[in-house]
Amino acid sequence: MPVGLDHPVVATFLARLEAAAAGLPPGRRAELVAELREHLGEALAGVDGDEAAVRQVVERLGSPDDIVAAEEAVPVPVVPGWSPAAAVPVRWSRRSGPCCRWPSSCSRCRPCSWPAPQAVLRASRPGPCRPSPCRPIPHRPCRPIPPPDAHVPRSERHEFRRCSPRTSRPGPCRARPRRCGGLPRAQAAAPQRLTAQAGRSEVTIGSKTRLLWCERHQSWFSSGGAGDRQHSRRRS
Amino acid sequence: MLALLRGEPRYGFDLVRELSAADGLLTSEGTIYPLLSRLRKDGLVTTSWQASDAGPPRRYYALTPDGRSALERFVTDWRRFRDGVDLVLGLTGQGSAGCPPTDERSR
Repeated sequence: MPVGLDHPVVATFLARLEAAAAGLPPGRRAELVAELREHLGEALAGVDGDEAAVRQVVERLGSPDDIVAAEEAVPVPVVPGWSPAAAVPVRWSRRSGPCCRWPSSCSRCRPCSWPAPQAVLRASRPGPCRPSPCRPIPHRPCRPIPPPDAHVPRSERHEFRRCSPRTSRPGPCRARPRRCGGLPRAQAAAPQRLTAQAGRSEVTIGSKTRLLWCERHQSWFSSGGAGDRQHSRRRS
Repeated sequence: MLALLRGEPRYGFDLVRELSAADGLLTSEGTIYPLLSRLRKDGLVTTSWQASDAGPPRRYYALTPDGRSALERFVTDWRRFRDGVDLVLGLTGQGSAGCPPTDERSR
């Protein structure tokens, strides 16, 4: 007697598939479930009531999680670090880790180019998939911190980074980029001018950092130590 | 997948059956359907419903002109890659007819 889709093993698989596909758009979810139902109907047509054979048919489909994850995969024809030497045009693999140490906050790395399961050439080395290395984003030079009385829209404050050749150097992701976040809100609104010397303004940020504004250079320098030396060099 | 559709439109289970027949080409049959869906979204295949003798109508997949172009590009790239590997492995000049399949050669 042919096995139907109401067989417990099949019904359990379809229920798990529907649960796993809950995050897909409704239309695509219904379509995917219908496709798998149709597939199971065809595959089970030649199977009698043998439960082992039914399980084999279901297991060949793969896990519902893998199937749904394949919906969101982005095919990458050639992935650095992976070789298509095994000559397989279709193979699914799961990503085993994030793209870099700071996958969500590292603005110097593009999103990982090896997300989720892939329909790509099979990896020639055994073991779980590894993500491709991070790629640097295009270099954007630092911008000088604006004068304290300048109006900086809140949405743009994150653009002002502490200028440092290291943080703005393009290259592989080595360190989390430091962001100054602009001047603290209270001081940006009411800058504390401690002194107004010839061509200079001074402002204190927090309890430690003092910045000196140089009109000639149209730039801020931190007072003391490296900032003074940097200013002296630019003056000379 | 595109190569399987080169000749004539085929339906999902038919594609799975053929891929499964080749050792190592397919590990999870169910993931074929998301792949077909993406190929359709990318405009590489089109679908149509056709009546079936054995049951409900089936969704048939066929190559589009873009899909055919993508397949031709892949074939070109694959030949170049295969020839490069053959060169490194010292298999050039033996003739492809007498060589084992690529995956066996690379082991």
